[in-house]
Amino acid sequence: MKLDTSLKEDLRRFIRERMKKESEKIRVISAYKLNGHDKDLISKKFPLIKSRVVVYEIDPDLLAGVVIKYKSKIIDLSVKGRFKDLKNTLYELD
Amino acid sequence: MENLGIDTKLLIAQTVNFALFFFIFKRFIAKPFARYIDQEKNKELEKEKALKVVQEEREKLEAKSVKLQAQMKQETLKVISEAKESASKVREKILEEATHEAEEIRDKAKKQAEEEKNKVYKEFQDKVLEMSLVLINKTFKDVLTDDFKKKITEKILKSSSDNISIS
Repeated sequence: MKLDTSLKEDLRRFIRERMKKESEKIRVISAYKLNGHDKDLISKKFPLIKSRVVVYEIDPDLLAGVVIKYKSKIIDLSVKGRFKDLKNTLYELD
Repeated sequence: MENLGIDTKLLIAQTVNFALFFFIFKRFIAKPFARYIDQEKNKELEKEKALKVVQEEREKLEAKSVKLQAQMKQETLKVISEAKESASKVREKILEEATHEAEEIRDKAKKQAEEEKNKVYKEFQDKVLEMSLVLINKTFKDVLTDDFKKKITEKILKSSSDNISIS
C-alpha cells in the first residue's frame, strides 16, 4: 500500500516529536512508592525535574535510594549501586 | 809239556787263531767301531752344543717376553687410568648439568605452584565476596521495611549535594 507523501511526512514528524518528548522525560526509579516529601527532596537536589516531565517507577531490587535517568545520563543514588561500587572496589583490591 | 796236559800244536793253533782274530778284530772291527764311537761322540757334542744354543735363545726370548709383558701391563694401566679420569670428568659434568636442570625444574614447579595457589586464593576470595554480597542483598531485601527504605533514601538524598545538574 503506497502512502501519500504528505502523510509520510506527518508520520515522520509525529514520531520525531514523540521520541523527543520521550528523551526529554526524566525517569526516577525508587525501591518503594515515593510520597510528596520524597519528591520535593528529589526536586530540591535536581532542579531540572521541575521543568520536565517525570516518570516515577518502582524497582524493589534497588533496596533503597533512587536512580535518576535523563537521556543518556544516569545518577545512581541507590543502595544497589553502592553495593556495586563496593564490589568493584573489593575486586580491585589485591 | 805233554805231561802237563798242554798240547803244543793246539796251543800254537790257538795262538795263531788268536793272533788272526786279534789282527782281524783290530783291522776290521775295532777301528770302524772306534770311528763309529767317535762319530757318535761328536754327534752328541754337536747335539749338546745345538741344545745349548737353543736354550740360550729360549732364555733370551723369555726375558724379552717378560719385558714386553711388563711394558704392556704398564701401557694398559696407563690407558685404564686415563679412561678412568676421562670418565670421571664426564660423570662430573653430567652430574652438574643434571643438578642444574633439576634446580631449574624445581624453581619452575615452585613458581607454578605459587601462581596456582595465588590464583586459587583469588578465586576463593572472589567467590566469598560474591556470596557475601548476595547474602547481604538477600538479607536487606527480606529485612528492609518501607519505612526503613524511606529513611535510607532520605539520608542518601540529604547527604548528596544540592542542585545537581543532569543535563
